[in-house]
Amino acid sequence: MNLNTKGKAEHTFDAIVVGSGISGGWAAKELTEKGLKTLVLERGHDVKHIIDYKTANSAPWQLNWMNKPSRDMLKQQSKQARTGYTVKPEAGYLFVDDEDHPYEEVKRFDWMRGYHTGGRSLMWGKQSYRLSPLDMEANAKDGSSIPWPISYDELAPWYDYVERFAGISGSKEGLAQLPDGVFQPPMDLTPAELDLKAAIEKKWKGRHLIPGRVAHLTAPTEEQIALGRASCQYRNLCRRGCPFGAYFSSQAATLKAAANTGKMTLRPHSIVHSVIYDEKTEKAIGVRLIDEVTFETIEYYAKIIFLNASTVASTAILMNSKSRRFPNGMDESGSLGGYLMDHHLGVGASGVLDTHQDKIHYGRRPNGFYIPRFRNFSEKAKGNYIRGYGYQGGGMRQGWNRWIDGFGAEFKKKLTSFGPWTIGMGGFGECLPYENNRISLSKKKTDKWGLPLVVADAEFQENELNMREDMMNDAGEMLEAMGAKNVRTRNRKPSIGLGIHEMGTARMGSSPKESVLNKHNQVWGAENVFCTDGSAMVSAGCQNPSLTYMALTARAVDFAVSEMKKGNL
Amino acid sequence: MERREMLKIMAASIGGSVALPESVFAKMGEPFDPSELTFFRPGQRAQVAMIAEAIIPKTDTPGAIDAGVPGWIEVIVKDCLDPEDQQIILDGLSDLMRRCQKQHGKDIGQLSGDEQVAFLTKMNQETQTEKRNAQKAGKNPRRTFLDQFKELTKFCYASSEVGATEAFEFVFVPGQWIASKPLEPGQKVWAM
Repeated sequence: MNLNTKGKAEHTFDAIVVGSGISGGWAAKELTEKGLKTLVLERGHDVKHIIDYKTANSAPWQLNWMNKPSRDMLKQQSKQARTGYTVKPEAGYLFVDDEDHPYEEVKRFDWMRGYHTGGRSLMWGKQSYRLSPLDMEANAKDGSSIPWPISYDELAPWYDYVERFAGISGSKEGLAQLPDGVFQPPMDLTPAELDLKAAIEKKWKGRHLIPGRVAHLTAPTEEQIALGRASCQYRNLCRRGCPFGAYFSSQAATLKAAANTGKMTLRPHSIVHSVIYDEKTEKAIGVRLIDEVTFETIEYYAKIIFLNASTVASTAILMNSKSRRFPNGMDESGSLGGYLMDHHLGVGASGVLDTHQDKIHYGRRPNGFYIPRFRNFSEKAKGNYIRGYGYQGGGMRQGWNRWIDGFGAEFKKKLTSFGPWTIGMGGFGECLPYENNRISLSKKKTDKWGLPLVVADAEFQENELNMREDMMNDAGEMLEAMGAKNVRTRNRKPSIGLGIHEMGTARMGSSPKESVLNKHNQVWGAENVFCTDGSAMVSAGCQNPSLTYMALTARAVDFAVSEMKKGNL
Repeated sequence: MERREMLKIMAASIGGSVALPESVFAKMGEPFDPSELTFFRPGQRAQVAMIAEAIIPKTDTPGAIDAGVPGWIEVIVKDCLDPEDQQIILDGLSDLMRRCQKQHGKDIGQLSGDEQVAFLTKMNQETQTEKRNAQKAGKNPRRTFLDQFKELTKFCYASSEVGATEAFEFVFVPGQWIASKPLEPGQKVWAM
């Protein structure tokens, strides 16, 4: 492609960020606030804060099919629908059309994607937990994979930093396996949950039940108020986009802060094809993209490139970035694409209570309780596995949406009266990083923009499957300990991707022989390319990972800009 | 919270002076037009309304018909159910009519409230037994007509404007979370 000097100048920025989701938004905010003219590339369409949340204020009767998915929606989004909750009229349009965005599955892989400004920061679960020293030292201690190249202590100040800006509601608990952070007031536990907490903490030393830590404002700071963010209104309609900016999304928080600097250019419809590498300077000089709408190939140039396209997508870009130096994509270790992880779920227990019939709750809390890991920490595993799991759950009074026997006036009376309190929890289990859990690029098939399809070949293995019996039984025993009735346990076959916590595939490490990224998230051999989304994860922990991506991103930008100023990039 | 108050907070969060377009409140789906209901034949449509009203009758609050439930059922059966479940609904409507005619010599809508409940209870017991027998015979039957129809009726009633606001307590923007408060006499269940 030929560009005259002016054209080239217009296409040149100080930094380029690929992706506008949770980590891309953070990269954009940090880079622009440090004064860098930054281009943010988003592969999908633009979604403007509030104005484009088209269902945010729809009552149930104002949604198509009262929010039930139609057959056509389920066909068009057959993979996105695998969660059972994503493809509904209220927010299904924020998940991709699987017919336009295919991928190949050697083994079943549930890949939930949102291609629009803000990415999955608009639809995420918002649970926000730190990894602990226990998690970050695990690979080194049990030898199951390479060690993290950074320690918890190196990351901790960055957790503080991102928590303060994002706004995390939670309680300080002093637990070594789940470090405290900078919190806004927690969301109270219900009477059912308090009973469970008391029963668990009495019977098992080392087990704890705490309010979920969630990226919602409960006491906004001046900085958050200045951005136009308000306290949570307890609608629990979050995945439609929040008109109050109460939960952390790129739109409400990071992209808004970046836009306020006047240094950000956001370009939607920009599908990044590859990073352009210059053999002479041994640096990346920019990115090549395909316009989603016009199919034009366009190049943009910058001194620093941040890949935040999401796990798998960032890896696919690195794989597609071929040069003489990197004939197989930007990796010389062979680890690119390997070590795909997710949390395994679908296992837990639920029960019914006959207590607290005289109490109800008011409001819809977008949160629940959390039981931090105790297996292979305060208690040894019963089964044959390493690592452990945490639980998320809730104890709520039942409303109309429960099974009620009968018909007619008597049925209607029960329908409009409160049912009993029920309580349940589901486990989130750690998945080890396995070399053979891989993604690659198809050699034959391309999408409609000519990009090779992603091929996923991964599954949960022995360690994960061995963990599930304990995950199920512990959940059941804890509910029984509180005196819950009709306790039912479940253990469905887990499927990788369904946690929507895909991690790994371009991991950090201490040596270019075994990792794609160094301890500052720089690509080995192309040090002005950074990748700080879930791809970088070396191990998974059992905690929801987004907060860690935020911390890694803020840390890496700080390093990148200081290196740039020293003339090292 | 009133719509005006909500608009104010929302306007503040996108920069104060910006006038919010009415499109912020645009509905994803406009309520269906009853003249466009095309799935059931007129006789079936009448049957759907009678059964829905028998399940959720008018009492001191509106019943299924006043809440517009039959139309919603038709739209959802047409667009959301897969063909196997659609057939269960269609077959179930005829089956129910036959049973009612055989037992009472009239349509379900012509029975008294008590008779309707007794009839539906009996039909439910019989069809649940048939389902269990099919399971014993190694088949994998879907949910019975009555189970499916009752869940649809309940769902559409609670999701309808009339049902949600008159039979339940509809609080679209609670504004706060109270984890525990006394259940006062007459407190209706939350609509959402």
